[in-house]
Amino acid sequence: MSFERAAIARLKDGDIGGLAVLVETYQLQAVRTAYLIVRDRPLAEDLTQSAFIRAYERIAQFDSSAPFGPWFLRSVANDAIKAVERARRTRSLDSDDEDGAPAIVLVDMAAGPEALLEQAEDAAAVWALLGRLPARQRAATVLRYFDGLSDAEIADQLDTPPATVRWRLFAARAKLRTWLSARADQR
Amino acid sequence: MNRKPATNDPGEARSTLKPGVTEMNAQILRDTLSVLALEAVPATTDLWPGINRQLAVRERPLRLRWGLGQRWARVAVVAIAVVGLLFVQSLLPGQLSTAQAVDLARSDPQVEAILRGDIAIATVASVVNDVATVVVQDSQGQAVTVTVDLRNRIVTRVYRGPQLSAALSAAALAAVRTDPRTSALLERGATVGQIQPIFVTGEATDPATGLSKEHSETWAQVPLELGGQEWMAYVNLPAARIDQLVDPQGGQVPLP
Repeated sequence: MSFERAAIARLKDGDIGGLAVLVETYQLQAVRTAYLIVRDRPLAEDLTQSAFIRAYERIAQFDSSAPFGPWFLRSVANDAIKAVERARRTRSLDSDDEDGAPAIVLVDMAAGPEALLEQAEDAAAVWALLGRLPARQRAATVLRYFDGLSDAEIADQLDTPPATVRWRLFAARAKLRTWLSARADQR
Repeated sequence: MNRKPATNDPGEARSTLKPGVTEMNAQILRDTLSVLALEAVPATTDLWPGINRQLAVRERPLRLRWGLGQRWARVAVVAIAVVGLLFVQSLLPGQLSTAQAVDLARSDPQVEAILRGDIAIATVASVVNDVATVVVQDSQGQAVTVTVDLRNRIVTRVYRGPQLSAALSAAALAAVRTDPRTSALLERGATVGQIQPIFVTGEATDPATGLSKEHSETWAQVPLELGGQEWMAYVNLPAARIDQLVDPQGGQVPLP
C-alpha cells in the first residue's frame, strides 16, 4: 500500500504521475464493476474515466491514511447507479431483457460438452437476471459477488443502511433462486 | 403497485430450498460475474491516454486565462469581496427564516454527500427554541434529518437515513401485534428490539400504458427476541402487514 500512498502524495503535490499509478492500479476493477452495473462497456469506461478525473480534482479532500480503492469505487458505483436510473427514466423496463446480452461467453474449455452448455446457460441466465434487477439491487449484487464486499462495506459504498443492503441482496437472490429452482425442475 | 413476490428470506441458508441450490446461487453468481466482466473488459484496457488527454485540454485554457488576465483577476477579486460584504450585511439582522433553513439544509455538503439523487422533499418538521428540524429526501427515498440553528445560521447536525417517525413505528408495531405468527411470539414473552427503516425497491406497472417503473417505499424491520434467539419481521408499511418473517435459523416462517 506504500506505493499507493506515495502516488497520492505525488498527486496532492500536483504531480499527475501519481494519478497514472492509481489509474493503472484500479482501472480494471472499476471498469468491470461499472460494466456489470450499466451493461455497456463504453459507458463503463466513460464513467470510470470521469471518476478518475474527479478524484484528481478532489484529491485534496481525500484522507491519505485511508485506502484509495474503496473511496474511488464508491464514486464509480454511485455514478453507475445514476446512469442506469437516468436510462430507465427514458425507456421502458420491458426492453431490459434484451439489452446488452454478451455475444460471447467465456467457458472452461477443459469441461465436457454438457458442462460447457450448462456454463453458457448459467452465464446467459445470470446476465439476463441482472438486467432485470433495479439499479440499486444490481449494484449491491455486483459489489457483493464481484467485488467481494461485506454488507457493511456495501452500505458504506452506497450510502444506505446495512438493513437495506441485506434486503436488496435478498431480493436479488430470491429472483435468482426462483430461476434456479425452475431450471432444476426442468432437468 | 405490482410488486414481484419475494420468494424467501434474507439469509443464505434456506430450509425450503432444494439441497445445494443456495450454495450454487452464490457460487454461480461469483463465477459468472467474473467471467462476464473479464470477457467484456479485457486486461488490456487502458484509460490513461484518455484521462491524460482530458486533463491536458482542461488545464491549457486555465493557464492561458491566468497568464493574460492577472489584472482582470485582481479586479474580479475586489468585486467579489464587495458583493460578498453586501451579501453578508444583508443576512446579519435577525435570524434565518424557515425557508432559508431549508435552503441551508439542502445545500449542506454533508447532505449533498449522502443524498445522491435529485432532492424530492425538503421540509421543516419542527422549530423548537430557534432550532429547525428539516427533513430532506431524495428521489430514491434516501433521507436525512438536519438540525439548523436559526439564530447562528448554521447546520448543527445531520442525521443519516430517516429515523422512522413515531407514527410509522407504531404502524410497524401494530402489524407485528396483528400478525398471528408474531403475536404468538409476543404472547410467549418475546421482546421487540429497535425498529429500523428499510428501503424497498420494486416495480410499479402503469395500468394505462403497461410500462413498469422503479418504485421505492420505506418499510420497517422489527426484531423480536425470545430465549436468546431473534426473529426478524419485515413490515410492509403501506400495506400494514408483515411481508416476511425470518426465524432464528434464517428460514421463513409461513402464515398458519
